[in-house]
Amino acid sequence: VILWMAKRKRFSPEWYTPVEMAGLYWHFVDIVWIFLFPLLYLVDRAHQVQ
Amino acid sequence: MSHISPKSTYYAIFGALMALTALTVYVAFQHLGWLNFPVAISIAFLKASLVVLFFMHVKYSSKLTKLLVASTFFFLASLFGLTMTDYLSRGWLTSPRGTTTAGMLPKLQAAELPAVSAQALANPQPLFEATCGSCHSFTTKTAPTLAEIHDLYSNDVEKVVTWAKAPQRKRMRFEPMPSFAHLGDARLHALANYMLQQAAQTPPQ
Repeated sequence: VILWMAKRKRFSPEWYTPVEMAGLYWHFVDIVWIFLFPLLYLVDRAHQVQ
Repeated sequence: MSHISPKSTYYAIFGALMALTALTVYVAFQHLGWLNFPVAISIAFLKASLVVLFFMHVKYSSKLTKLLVASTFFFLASLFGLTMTDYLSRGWLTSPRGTTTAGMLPKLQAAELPAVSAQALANPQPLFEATCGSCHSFTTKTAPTLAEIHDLYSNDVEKVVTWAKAPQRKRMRFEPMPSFAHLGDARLHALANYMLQQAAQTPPQ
């Protein structure tokens, strides 16, 4: 949606709030996965591979 | 919000995140014992702070924003901490005597058993309190009560003895019972008799 809005020249150096908000949400999910990845997929790996 | 970072910063952070991900995977396959978990979580925290500081622009934000972000993480940590005080302390205080079945087991096995004398077997109460009675009283919530045991077996001493030697786990709400085969047949018979008598004599409240 943001990409489509950007193509339509909806943003400017004065107004880019949706881009910022979308970026913040994107990176929030990013952080959640930074913790989920080791917890879900890597915990106890050393014991499973013998 | 007005700060414009050069693209090179973003590529550098991306590279650092990728490298740290590879490091996490590498470390996960090493045998570090209990250290595996703290190491993985520390790397995750390092990566999360990179994302927050650079991708979320917190590094270039006002002090108020930084304070807000810091306090958010503080309260998140507090909530996780409070949850963990409950989760990690489960099973510390499950028996009326203040120990878990697992914690009690070495003590029970190491306890000096009274000699199998006619006198000791005639009064099994001290032995009962040191062994079966730790969990199986009339009021216990951690194991079947004496009354329940009596209902199950009525007067069949042999069945109680057989169970005590090789207990199974029928009721998932209780911790599994350890075997008491080490007490020997004579003591187990005296104990089983005593338990069934107690249950028959004293009506539960």
